Amino acid sequence: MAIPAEQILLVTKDGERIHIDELIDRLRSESKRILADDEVGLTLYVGDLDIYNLKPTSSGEFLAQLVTEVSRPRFAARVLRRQIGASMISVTGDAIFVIRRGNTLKKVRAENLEAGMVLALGEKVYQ
Amino acid sequence: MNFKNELERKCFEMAERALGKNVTIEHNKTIKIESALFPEVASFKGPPAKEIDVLAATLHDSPKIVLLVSCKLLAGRAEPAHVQEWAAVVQTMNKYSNGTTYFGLVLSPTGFTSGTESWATSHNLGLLPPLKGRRLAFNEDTVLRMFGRVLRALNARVQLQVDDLMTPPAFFDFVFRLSADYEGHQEAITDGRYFLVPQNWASSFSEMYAAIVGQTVEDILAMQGATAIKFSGNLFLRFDGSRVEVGPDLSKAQGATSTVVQCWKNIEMEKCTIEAIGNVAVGKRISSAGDFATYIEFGLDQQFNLGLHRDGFHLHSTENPIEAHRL
Repeated sequence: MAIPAEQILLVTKDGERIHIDELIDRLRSESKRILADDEVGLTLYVGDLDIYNLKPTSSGEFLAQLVTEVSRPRFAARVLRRQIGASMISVTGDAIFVIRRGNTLKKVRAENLEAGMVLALGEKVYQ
Repeated sequence: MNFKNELERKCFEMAERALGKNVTIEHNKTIKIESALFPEVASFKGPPAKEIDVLAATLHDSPKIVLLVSCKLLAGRAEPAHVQEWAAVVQTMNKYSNGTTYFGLVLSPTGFTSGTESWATSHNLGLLPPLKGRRLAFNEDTVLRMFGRVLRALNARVQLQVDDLMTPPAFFDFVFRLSADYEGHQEAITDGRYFLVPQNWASSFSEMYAAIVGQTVEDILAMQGATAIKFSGNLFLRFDGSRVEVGPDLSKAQGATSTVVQCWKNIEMEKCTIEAIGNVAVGKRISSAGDFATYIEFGLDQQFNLGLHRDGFHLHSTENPIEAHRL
């Protein structure tokens, strides 16, 4: 959610890396895929292409999530750098993380993440 | 058609523009559940019905998909109760549906309190404007544009795939993704300096540069109150002192040619003719750019800097020593 396009790590179902700019340039000629192409940016439907977004975990592995749309916004929001587990990631301030707090889970926006917080999947926030 | 307030009328008109006449849009609708074959809804009056202020847009016929929109014109931000009410309506319609899938969306130009998010995500309702990390105030016009964008995108999306949107919070996320980028767009509009023509979309320095870098200068033009560069590929850049326009629109760039044009060369800004500048600039590629408020400047093949002013041009060499590279 709200992660700028250049930071998304996309792969095929076989694990092959996909470059989002190449993907968008290839697919934008298929008009039926275009959900929005206007003053705000371009959004394409890719839900049928078995494309996954990889999110890093502290163990060095990646969590694969099916991607249904890819976007190229014309005006990106401010980006923050955060170290989650062993990885540095770039996210917008309003990207949502789910953290553990005692026996409950709580949603926290990236700009409110603090060192020492532990995400729902066990990764620790270092900075 | 009667509208409860001005916001409803604008939303209705936006929905019509976005979805066209082939999509049914109803207003002040009495909604009834489709299937009354459940003991808990049996009554002496017949199936339960509720009159609500709603824009109901049918997006797909088989299977039938309907978007129920609640337009909230409030003095302050919408509260959880407003979202809860709509969640109950949409949930009931889906529970007693006879094959129709209902999606719900709440539109409140004054925004939402943070407590609404959990209700919207758990009940899979879209919120416009989106709830962002920092409190943003979008004007009503921008919220209506978001509404139109979401309707067009949803209309295209349901023709391709819809099942995944039914699982919370997929529809909430879908609406969020399509409306969240208005944050950066709003800031760009506030600046109001760069524009893409002929759409007249707000643009940015980086987008302008991405469009022209590597392009070959074919001509430089002076017109009434502005200067322009014509690039290869029928691309133009026009500068009038406060506004920078980029695009293939010929209409402005081919406006009345001005005879009052001032041109300067070298660092000392010695007067020269537009022909002298054109002789050097034409055929060179754009290699850099800078915005200096009263003028904008472009690097040409990393050898020259070409400046556009409201009423003229300047050109100088970027190579050293200066004395050996005077024009």
